[in-house]
Amino acid sequence: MVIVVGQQISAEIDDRTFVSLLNIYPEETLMERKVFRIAREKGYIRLSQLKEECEKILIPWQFFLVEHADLESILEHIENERVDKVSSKLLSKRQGAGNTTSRRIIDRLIRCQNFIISDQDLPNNDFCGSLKGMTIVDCVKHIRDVFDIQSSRLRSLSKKSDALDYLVGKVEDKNINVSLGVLDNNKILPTIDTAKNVYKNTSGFIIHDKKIPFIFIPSAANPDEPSARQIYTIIYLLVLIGLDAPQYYIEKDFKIAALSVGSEESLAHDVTGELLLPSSEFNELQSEDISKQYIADLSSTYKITPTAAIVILRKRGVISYSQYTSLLEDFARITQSSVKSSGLRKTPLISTSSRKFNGKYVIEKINDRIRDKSLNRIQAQYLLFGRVNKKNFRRYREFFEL
Amino acid sequence: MIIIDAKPLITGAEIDFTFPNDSFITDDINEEYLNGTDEALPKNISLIIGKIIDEATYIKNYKVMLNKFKKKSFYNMTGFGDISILAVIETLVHKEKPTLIPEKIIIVTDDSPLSSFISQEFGEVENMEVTNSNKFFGIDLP
Repeated sequence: MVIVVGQQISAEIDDRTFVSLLNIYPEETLMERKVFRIAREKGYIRLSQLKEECEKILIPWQFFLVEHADLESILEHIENERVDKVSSKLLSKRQGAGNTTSRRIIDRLIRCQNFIISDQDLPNNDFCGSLKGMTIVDCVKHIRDVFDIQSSRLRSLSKKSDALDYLVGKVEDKNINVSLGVLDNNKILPTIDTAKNVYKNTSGFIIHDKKIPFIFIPSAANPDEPSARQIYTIIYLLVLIGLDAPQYYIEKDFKIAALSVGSEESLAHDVTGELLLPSSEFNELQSEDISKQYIADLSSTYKITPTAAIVILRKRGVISYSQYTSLLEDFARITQSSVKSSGLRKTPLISTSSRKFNGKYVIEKINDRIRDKSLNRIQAQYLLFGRVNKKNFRRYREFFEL
Repeated sequence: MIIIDAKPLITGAEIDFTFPNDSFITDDINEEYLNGTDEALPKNISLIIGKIIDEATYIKNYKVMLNKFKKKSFYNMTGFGDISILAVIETLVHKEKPTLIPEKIIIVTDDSPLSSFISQEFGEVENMEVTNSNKFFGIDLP
């Protein structure tokens, strides 16, 4: 394939480079984009088209000029980092199974994590692995103690979104970086349709590190992720860090894993359930007490989804299998009928979107390095936004007074 | 003809230097500058691509230099300004069809690896000189 500038043939693009590069995020099916498809058919692409398309898919156009052997080396390095830091099961999920994972999000966060831990002598995070060998009750106590999570405070918050903010703050206070998926007009992630569909199906996961582990919660990137679900996710992923079990993640449909017995995953679900819905407060509960309204009240008080409440009660043997399926069906109908269209939403401040996606420690370090001028502005923008965007960066700097 | 790297360009703007009217930058350097400072582009600075050299040949040579110059990092997105300067030089002095304009070419850069690479790659080219900000601006900068 060749690049055409004006009427002239310019540089050649190795076909293998073209294919490898557009498959860097196979779940986004970038090869199927019209411009690239036509380019393959015709054997050429205009430089202006290449740059415009690369702007949309957030891949630097210069990558297309790299010799194939060098590109393979770069891609191999990226893949090794993914394998090193993220669950292999998460990476092996295939499109078409209804579950895919955004490798783009994984790569961005790995880069951020490497940025934080580079040239800094940070101590290991003592919470990593500290839950190993503990009983469920001891795990819950340890988490509450380490992160100072007050259940009474959590329940006192009337809005589940406030409860989520409370938990995120507590987790971040203990050197765990929390990343919340954002998908808004600030375009920190690409907003092409294929990418958006991937984000919707991306699970919550951990990016492993002994010093600053990362938690990713697919929040605004997935409109089906209400705050209560995100609360369950953050606790679950925290437990995985405590168990030193980065090979797991939380599926969109977590019921089967939660109801299984004897695995580390089910243990993590048990701890999560116990922290959010302590069994000691429900010792006298009988199955005949459980109604739809009861589940709704539990959800509201304990800041969990109705599904999570139903699963937890089933796991504890409080409700029968038929009650379990009946309640799930009831709430699935309620959820479907109450789903509101997102409509037009006001675009948040770029500082808000950046802070949410990148997380506390990334933002703090980037801002420090901008202040002491050891990080140039272009590098800062790639870390923050995945691209150069002068207007957004100016607004970002104004907000943080940089 | 003067070809200016990003750091000297920013320095020149900050000290209010009047660049000579044959001063040029590449598109990559322009982007680095516009994103690296809040100052407007200094007077007498022109984009070289399209004005002096044709873009098709430049892109061809950009690819050559991208794969030769190892200092760049796709991870940190650094080094592309250097590559653009090298691509400009290569376009001007292209060995099969030299188009070197018969006047002195001065490259202004404070980047040591870039300076070394230019000497190594284009050392035999006459009428080309690499200098740094201190010498170019004639002052001792911190």
